[in-house]
Amino acid sequence: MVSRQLLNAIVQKIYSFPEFHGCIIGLYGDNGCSVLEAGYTPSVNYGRVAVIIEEVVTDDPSTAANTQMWADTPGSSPAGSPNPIVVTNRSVWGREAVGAGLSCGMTIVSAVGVLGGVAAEVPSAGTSTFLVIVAWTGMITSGIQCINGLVRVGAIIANPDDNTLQRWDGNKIYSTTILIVDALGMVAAIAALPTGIENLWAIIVRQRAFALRGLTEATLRNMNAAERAKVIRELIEAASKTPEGRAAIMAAAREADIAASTLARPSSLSVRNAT
Amino acid sequence: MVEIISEETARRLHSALRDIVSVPVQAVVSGLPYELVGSANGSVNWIIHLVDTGSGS
Repeated sequence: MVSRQLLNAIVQKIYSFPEFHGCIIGLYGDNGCSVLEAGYTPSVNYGRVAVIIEEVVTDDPSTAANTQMWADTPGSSPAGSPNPIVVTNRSVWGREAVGAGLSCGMTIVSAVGVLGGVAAEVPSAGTSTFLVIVAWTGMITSGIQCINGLVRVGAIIANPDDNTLQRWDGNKIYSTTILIVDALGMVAAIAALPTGIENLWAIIVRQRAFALRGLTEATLRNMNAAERAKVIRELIEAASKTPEGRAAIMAAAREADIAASTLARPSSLSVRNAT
Repeated sequence: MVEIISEETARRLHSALRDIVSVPVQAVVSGLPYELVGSANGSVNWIIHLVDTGSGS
């Protein structure tokens, strides 16, 4: 318990600062709250500034030493002491809105890739599983960052003059978690990059091969049945590598009135149906 | 059929390009400072600071 004499000395010390002179001073200690000084009504600080003195007991030697150092320094902060700056939510509104927009934009791009089923051209079963895991990891981590960005923007809107985000960022668990989530997303993206490049190259090469063949209705018509069957089989195989491609083939087959089983025997397809 | 192949190729080309381009974009955003992109910055920026601090000391 702090003695009344010491409390009076603290009040006098507080009032010696012009910013606090005449303000109301409260005390939180000795198992209760009380008004230590009611303040001076003529003072400009009365009703504008309030000081709360909190009595705390600490067993931590470093905190005690730190407090003692502050107490021993007359009238000013100890040399080298940090100057705490309060960053209000309002002041970071712009960058947080940009951040949330970017995170959510990347989530949409990831989701389009994953949910569209275009992870790859399914090179092999093992690689495919790997790519699916990587793609989902990217989408989930991106989604977490998007939600995080939206929650932060929500916190700004809810309390623009508070320093919620500064306090969140100061929380080691929160900041480390978000950092790990971002790192996981980056690892997933980089892991998928070689396959992505390979995939792009395969598409370009195949497209060039088809372009070089100059496939038109006339060229197909000029081929014999065996050649035409080979070309059509290759075309069907190429287009059927993704679910969307298969669906397009089936739709086209239905439109052209070709039975699905016929697609497995391209030699029976006519030029009319093929084009 | 040729038309389907063309459409499929264009769609796959578009998807493959998007998948590839999104990686450097993601890396750049992650590497930008907090002052520019807020919470969207991340691990790359952390590594940059780590390397920067390491070279400075």
